[in-house]
Amino acid sequence: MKNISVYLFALAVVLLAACSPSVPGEYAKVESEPQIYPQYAGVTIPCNIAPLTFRIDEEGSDYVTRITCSGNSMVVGGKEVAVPADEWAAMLGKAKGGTVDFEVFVKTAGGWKAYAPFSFFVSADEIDPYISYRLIPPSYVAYEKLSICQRELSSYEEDVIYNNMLASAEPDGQCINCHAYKDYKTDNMQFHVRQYKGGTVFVHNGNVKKIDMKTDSTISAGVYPSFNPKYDVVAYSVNSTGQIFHTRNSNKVEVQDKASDVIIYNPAKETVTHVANNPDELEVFPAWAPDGKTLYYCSSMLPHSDTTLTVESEMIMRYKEVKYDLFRRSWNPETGEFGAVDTVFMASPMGKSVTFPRISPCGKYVLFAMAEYGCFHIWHKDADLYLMDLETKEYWPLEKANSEYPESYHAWSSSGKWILFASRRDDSNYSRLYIAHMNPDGTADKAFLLPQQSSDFYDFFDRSYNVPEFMTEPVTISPQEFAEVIKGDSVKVKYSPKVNGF
Amino acid sequence: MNSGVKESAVAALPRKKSFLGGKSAVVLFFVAVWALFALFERPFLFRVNEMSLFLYNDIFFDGMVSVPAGFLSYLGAFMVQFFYRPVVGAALYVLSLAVVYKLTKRVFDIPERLSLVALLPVVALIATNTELGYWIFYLKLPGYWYVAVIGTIVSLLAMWLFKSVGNMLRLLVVVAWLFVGYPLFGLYALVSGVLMGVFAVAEALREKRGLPWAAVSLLLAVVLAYAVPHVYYNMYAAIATEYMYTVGVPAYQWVPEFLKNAEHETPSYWHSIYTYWVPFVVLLLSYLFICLLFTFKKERLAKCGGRCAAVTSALLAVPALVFMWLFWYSDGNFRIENKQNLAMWQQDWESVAAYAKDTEKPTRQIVMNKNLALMKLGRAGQEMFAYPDGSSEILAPMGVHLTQTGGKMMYFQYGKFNFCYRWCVEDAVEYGWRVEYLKHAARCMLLQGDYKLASRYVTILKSTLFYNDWACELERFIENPELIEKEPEFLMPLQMKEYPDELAVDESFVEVFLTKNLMNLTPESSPLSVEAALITSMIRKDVKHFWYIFDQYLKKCNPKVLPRHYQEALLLFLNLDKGQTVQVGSGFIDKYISMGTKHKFDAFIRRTTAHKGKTEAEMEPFFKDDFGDTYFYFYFFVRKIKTN
Repeated sequence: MKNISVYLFALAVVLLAACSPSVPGEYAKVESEPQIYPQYAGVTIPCNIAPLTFRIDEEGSDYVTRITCSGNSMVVGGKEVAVPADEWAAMLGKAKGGTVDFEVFVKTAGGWKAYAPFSFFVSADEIDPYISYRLIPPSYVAYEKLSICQRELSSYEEDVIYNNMLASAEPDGQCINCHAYKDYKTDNMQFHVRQYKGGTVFVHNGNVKKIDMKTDSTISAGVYPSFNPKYDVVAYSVNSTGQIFHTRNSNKVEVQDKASDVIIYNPAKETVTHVANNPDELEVFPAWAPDGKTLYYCSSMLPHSDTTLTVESEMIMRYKEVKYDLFRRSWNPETGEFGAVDTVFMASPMGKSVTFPRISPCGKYVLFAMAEYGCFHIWHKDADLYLMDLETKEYWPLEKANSEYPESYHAWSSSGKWILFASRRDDSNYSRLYIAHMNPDGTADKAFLLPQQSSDFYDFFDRSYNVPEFMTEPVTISPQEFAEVIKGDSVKVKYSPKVNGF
Repeated sequence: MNSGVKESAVAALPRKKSFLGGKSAVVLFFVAVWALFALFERPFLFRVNEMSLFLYNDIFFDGMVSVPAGFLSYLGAFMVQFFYRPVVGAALYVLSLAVVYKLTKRVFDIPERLSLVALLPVVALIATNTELGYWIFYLKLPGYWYVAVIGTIVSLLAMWLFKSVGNMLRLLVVVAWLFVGYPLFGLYALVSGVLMGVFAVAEALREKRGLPWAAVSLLLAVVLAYAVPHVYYNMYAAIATEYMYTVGVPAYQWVPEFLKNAEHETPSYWHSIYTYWVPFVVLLLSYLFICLLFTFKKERLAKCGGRCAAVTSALLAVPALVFMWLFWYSDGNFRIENKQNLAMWQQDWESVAAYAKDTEKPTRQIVMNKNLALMKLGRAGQEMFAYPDGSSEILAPMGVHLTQTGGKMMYFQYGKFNFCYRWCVEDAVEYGWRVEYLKHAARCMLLQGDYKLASRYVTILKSTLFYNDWACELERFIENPELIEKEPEFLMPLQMKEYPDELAVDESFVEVFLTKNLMNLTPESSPLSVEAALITSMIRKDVKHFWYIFDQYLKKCNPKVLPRHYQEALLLFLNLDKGQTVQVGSGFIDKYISMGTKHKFDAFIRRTTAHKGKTEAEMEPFFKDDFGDTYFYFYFFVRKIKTN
């Protein structure tokens, strides 16, 4: 009996050894790097990111990948290159400031081929532990099964913050959007619920409430939010938005505002106040500076000149003339007074339109999306990310992060060392999340696709990712708790002509 | 076993030859059901398959099981894919119904000579599908066709297990089944859990022992059926409390509120939302009836004689067959639309046109399909008004729009790729991705030149069982775009796609949008686009546009002989115009209008004069036979077209 056990053990060892992949002894060298998906070659990754699983998109009957890091090697077999999480974490721990190198061997009818090696650069700059985003089909007007989710970046763990099906009822649907946090923390956060049981779900110092932010003096309830990182106010745009569809253009859809203003919401006093509401302008996308004393926003002159047409009709006819510029106003938190309008960047004279300004945590840069026209750049193929130095007013495209497809919905990490954004580059239609390392000189390294456990994930996942945000802690309120609040009554805000001081 | 001795005694009873309740009648029933599906419903079953999707990967599975009863939908979607081959799919479906029948008999100990009773739930299950009609485009429950069948099968298996164990274990079975069954099978687990308790009590009452245990079973089942969904509510993040008890049936759609905007001109029970619940209620009641009857009256029914069996079977069979007939949606127009759809995917445009003759009162979908087919065949100008025309009301409770039915095909064929794609995506949001949407999306993006996006949908279709070849064929074009223009299938859409981009909305009305849009010609418009515009101006009876487009038609298409309907329109509009806006010489008329058309028009005018003073409705019968195939007839008598 004892002998049998020994033999069985020996057999198992032999079998395991036979199954373990090994680098082939003989191979022909190929000068090019292998085709892989996601295209991770040359990307810079944080040292605390989940394993970047990828597949080798080369024809072959067998695949071997040798991964080398700090002098240690491991060999992975198969078309899909997936490193176990613990080994990956150990590897990145050693590789901080260095590289992880990959050599791919593919067996073909003519024998083994060795492709040119490629690397991941491992930054010592850690990334925030969580991100959140909305998952939405890349649809036009229909919505169903929308969810706002949070993802732990060091693993593949994803949780639902809220799913609209929790409080939806036929035939009334419910749209959810615009989740935002105060200073990367979740005890002050918000998201909107539209239509059925609509309102703004607002977490104020840990307490959840639903707010009805529409007043007789404002165009709509709050739309694009920006929490003041230091003071207890939130800036919103209020918008009258419509969608219309291209019959041929591959951009497919235009999302337009026929009116928009910027307001401030005071959650302690339940009041809203106008910040920018010029009737001839479309003011939108408020964004606070990190010190909480300057509010940035975009604005476009309304192209309404033909009095025989409605504003909406004229916006549709002249949609390419709607171009947004970047402005700012100082704010005195003690008096609540805003300063004069200061022009930051006039994009329109250059035939461009700037949207979604996001100020870096150090306050030095503003990151924005720019394209030829309009305000909804995630549908514009020419939309790219740009960075502007707020002191010199110099700006430049983030070349290594951009693509020929739309980039938008960008966010800074709390350290300012990473940016997160949505791009449609993978298949031209579904927006996916990319993360890029920011260098001190304001350039971005090659961005990497948010890793998933399977490299096939994005091929079959039928949701777009939008409005990604970094968080330093997870949302702990359960989806069901949010649902109960949504089913309940709203707190009605009042309009106040002046923002109260703090 | 609780009643092992008595069951043995029953089993020892001599087998009696049955009347009607025998195996042959049952076999005949299933063969007949298969034949009905295989012979008469093939295009419908194919459409059912195309309105579903099953992918062989983990992401698809994970997505499906993210809601309670998602596993049931997953299994259902797996089975639905076999309707790609309708005859095979129908056979599998009938086999699954046969399993329901056998299990029902076995679980409730139904004697052979009363076996027709076990067909009652089978009939109800069939009706849950045959009643659907246009609902196949609107249902949001994936795998619906098989959901009730599989839900019933697993419920019967659970019942069987419950019956097979002792009192103590039965409690465990109830608890385990409700906790395990609910997330997998939803409502079916809840109902069968309670049915276990009902059976236990009925059995205890019959046996006159074990009543406390049985009562506890029932109480436990009822309490858990109430509590378990609440427990799982906190584990799933995508189910509202309103619907947590009804997962596995389309309870969120089959409510009156869902249909509040639908209007109906003629009364029909198909317009009532409650109609669609009836088979489910019958299914539930049939099992309750069977459970109580064959538990309480077990010995007595086992001794049921030939006459008793015959009467019982006849009493059940006749209403069951009537029920089946009543709940078999057999709207002729719906069948034609499905036949045309199948023929269109098979590039059989002759059949698409021919099917349009199978109805006197077609829907707009049928008319549009026919016009498209004739355009493809190059015979629209010659034949299109020789077919039945009109806008028959859709026999469905909800508002049925072409965007969900055949509009995507129209948009694709007329080169409106963005709009076709848009509706694929919008409907995928509402109803989940389906094979048909994926095929349209892939083709549209291919012809739009967005190969990356086309490739995405090809990749997904390659993960199906039956559409791999179709996807590989399309992939060939993605890899070799120069082949696209040589493909006959793409000829018309490519010729129709030369128009300037504009921002527009269709408000879900495909025909209105298309007909307006097709008339916007540009210098780049292809001859086919010009002809489509001409046809459109005739359909819309838009004389003003007709003249401009006709001029373009002569220049671009340079016809040697003007097709018959164009001659008719030309002559009619010239006469209506009376030279006020358009002046043509006699040479023009002689060149383009044949003597036959002139004679026909003269006869039409004479007939009109003879019936002067009558209303259109009164005149129409006097014109239909002689002029029903002319544009004159269409212009004057095909009126009040309501497109959907």
